[in-house]
Order: sequence, then structure tokens, then C-alpha cells
Amino acid sequence: MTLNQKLLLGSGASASLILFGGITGYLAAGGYLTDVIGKDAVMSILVLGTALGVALALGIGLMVSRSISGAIKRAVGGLADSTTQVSAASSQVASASQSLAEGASAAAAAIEETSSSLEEMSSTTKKALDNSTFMTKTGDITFALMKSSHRSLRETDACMKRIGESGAEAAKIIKTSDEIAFQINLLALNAAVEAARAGEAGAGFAVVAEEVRNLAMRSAEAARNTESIIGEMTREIKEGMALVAKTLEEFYKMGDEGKKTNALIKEIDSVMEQQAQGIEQINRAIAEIDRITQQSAANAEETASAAEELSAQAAQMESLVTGIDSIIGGGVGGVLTVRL
Amino acid sequence: MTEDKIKALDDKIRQSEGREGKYLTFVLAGEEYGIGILKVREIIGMMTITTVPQTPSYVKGVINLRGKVIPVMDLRLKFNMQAMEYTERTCIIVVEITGPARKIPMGIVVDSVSEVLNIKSSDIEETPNFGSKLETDYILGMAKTGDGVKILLDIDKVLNDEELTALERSA
Repeated sequence: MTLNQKLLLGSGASASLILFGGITGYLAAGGYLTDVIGKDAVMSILVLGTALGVALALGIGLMVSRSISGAIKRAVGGLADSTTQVSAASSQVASASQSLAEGASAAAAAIEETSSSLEEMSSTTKKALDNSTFMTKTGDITFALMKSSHRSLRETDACMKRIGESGAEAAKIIKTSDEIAFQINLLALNAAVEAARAGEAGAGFAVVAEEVRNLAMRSAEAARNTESIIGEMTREIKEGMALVAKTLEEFYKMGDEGKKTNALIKEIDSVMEQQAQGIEQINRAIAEIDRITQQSAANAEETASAAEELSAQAAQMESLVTGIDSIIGGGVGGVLTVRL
Repeated sequence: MTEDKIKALDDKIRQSEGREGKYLTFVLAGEEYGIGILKVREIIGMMTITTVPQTPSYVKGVINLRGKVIPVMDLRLKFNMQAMEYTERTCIIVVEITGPARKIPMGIVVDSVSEVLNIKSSDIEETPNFGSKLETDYILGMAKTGDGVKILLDIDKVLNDEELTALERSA
């Protein structure tokens, strides 16, 4: 039974009650009238009056019910509209927060990846930093070694010079002994001349002179051999000295290059250190971003669930509106054409 | 005729026998020469030579040999060879030249002195005839030693009489 019908019935009943009262009164009056105008006329007036009363009651009931249900119907219609909008909005919010949550979790995953890449990079940088530090140390050691070998080279040079001087000294001595041999040779020849002048008497002396001369020749020969050996030695020493000089020159160049390399290595080391620090900072920033992202993901999750709740509430409200609508009557069912 | 021949042969034999004996050999421009040892007074190393003006170019000057002034000539220059810087091997052989009047001591500069050699007459050959106009009087002969040839000099004839007379005067 719809509200309309109930209203109609109510107003009909009240009208009937009024009518009944009227009739009762009327009948009382009728009893008086019957006495006046006859029973038939009273009867017809009674029927007519009854019919008129019923029609009047019905008309008033209809009017009352119409006016009440119209107002309610309008309110319910507005409520239904709002419910529809709330429902739509809440579903939009739900989907938006859902996608926000998804985005946040995707961002969180990306950050996770970035973080692990950074971790790797950080360890690589640390390794490189270790290597460059080691290289700096090695460079220092190499430099020290170069210094010491440079000293050795200089000593070698001085030693070669001393050997050369000794060689020259020996050459002088050999020259002297060669001169002595030449003088002995001359003496022996003179002795031979004297022996020849002495004729037969000098024959023995001539043999001695010849022997002395042979000795002188051998001595000269030995001096010549020694001289050639010393000459060779001197030449080789000169070559050695030239080599040492060249090596020294190259050594100086190497030293310069080594200094440059060392400076570069030190620079690389400091750059690496800075880089490591930078990566550390990035790491910290990424961790912060990660934390914030996770928080916003959680927030989005909460928003989504709230929107869900809101949606459910909207649905309930809609069913209530439907209930009211059905109480008012199917005639106004048209307000809930949009079902959520 | 036969007698002449015999005499000539005899002379030759006597000559060659006279040439046999000891020679002092020395080097001059890479060639070996020999002087009869009895002509040699002594052999000395190079010493300071005092140049004497207005002497032929081959006369280098005089030396003071233990208080005796002796003329010195460069044998390279005398033999028209190229002059050479004196080295520590350069020697002066003091010889006695038989001059027209007396024996003249004379130093001759040679590249180097070699040795005293005993040369047999069988190893001595006559000086080959290089052409009639070429004077080879100052060569005693050619001595064969090993596979080489030594030129034996007659030091008396290296200088001609005029030169010797001049030397005699100056000495």
C-alpha cells in the first residue's frame, strides 16, 4: 500500500467519519423531517446527501494526499540526485586514489631499483677509490725507487769516470815502458855496432847485444799489446759513459713524467673521494624519497579505502531513497532512474 | 880478352866479398836500407837540431853530441822524398864519411832503425841498370832477405865530392 493510497484511505476514512457524524445528525434531523415532509423525500435526501458526502470526502482526501506526497517526492528527488553525485564522486575518488596508490608503489619499486643501482655504483666507486689510493701509494714508492736508482746511476757515472782516469794513467805508464824498450833497443844496437868494431873480440858481446835487443823488442811488443787493450778499454768506457749520460737524460725525462703522473693520480684520488661523498649524499636523498613515496602510497591506500567506504555509504543511502520512493508511490519512481 | 874477363870476374868476386858482413838496417819511407856497420859510429834518438843558415835543404843543421858538433842531414830530403814529421821512432845514425881529406862524422836522420843484420855475399846482388843516365853509385847492392829486398847504401857516395868538401869546411 503506497503512501498515496494510505493518505487517500486516511482522508477517505476521516471524511466518512465526518460524514457518519453528519448522517447521524442528519438522521436525527431526518426523524424530525419525516414528520414534516414524508419518509420518501427524506430517504432520497439522505441518499443524495450521503453520496455528496462521500464524494466530498474523497475529493478532500485526494487533495491532502496530493499536496503531502508532492513535497516529499521533491525532497526525495533532490536526495536521490545528491546520492547519485556523491556516489559518482566517491567512485572517482576511489579510482583516483587507487591509481595514485599504484603510481606510488611503481615509484617505490623504481626507487628500490635506483637504490640498488646506486648501491652497486657506490661499491664500484669505493673500489675505484681504493685502487686510486693504492695507486697513489705505488706512485710514491715508484718515485722513491726512481730517486734511488738515479743516485746509483750518478755513482756509476762517477765510477766510470774514475776507471777512465785510471786507464789514462795506465796508458801513460805503458807509454813510458814502451819508450824505455825503445831506448834499450837503441842501446843494444849501439852495443852491436861496438861489437862489430871490436871485430873477432866483440863476437860474444854481439850475441849479448842481440839478446838484449830481443828482450827490448819483446818488452815493446808487450807494451803495444797492453796499449791496444787499454785503448779498447778506454773506448768502451767512453761508450759506457755516453750510455750512462743518455740514460740519465732519459731518467730526467722519466722523472718529469712520473711527477706529472703522480700529480694526476693524486687529483684522480681526490676526485674519486668527492664522487664517493656525492654518491653517499645521493644515497641519503634516495632513502628520503623512498620513505616519502612509501608514505604517500600508504596515504593513497587509506584514501582509496575511505572512498570505498563512502561509496558503500552512498549505496546504502540510495537504497533508503528507493525505500522512501516506494513508500511515496510508484508514480514518483522516476526519480531513481540512475542506479548506482 | 880472356885475361880481361878473368880480371873483371875476379874484381867482382872481391867486390862482393868486400860487401859481405854486418849491416845496420833502417827504414825510410817504408823501404828497408842498410849501411855497413863499420861506417856507423853510433845510433841516437832524435835530439835538438840547431839549424845552420845558407845550407842545402837536406842539411837539417848541427847537433851537440857529447861536446862534438856534428852536421845532420835528412836522408828523405837528400833522396828527394817527401819530408815527414819526426816521431819518437825517428833516429839519427851517426856515420863516418870518408871525405877527400879526412873522415867526417855525420848524422843522418832516418824514419826508424831496425836491426843489425849479417848479410852473406851470396845474398847480395848488383844494382840493376835503371838507365845509363841514372847514377846509382851510392848503392852498394841489393840484399835479398826473406821475400824482401834491402838497399845497401855506400854512405861515402851519397854525398858527392863537392858536398863533402863543403861539409869538411863547415865541420
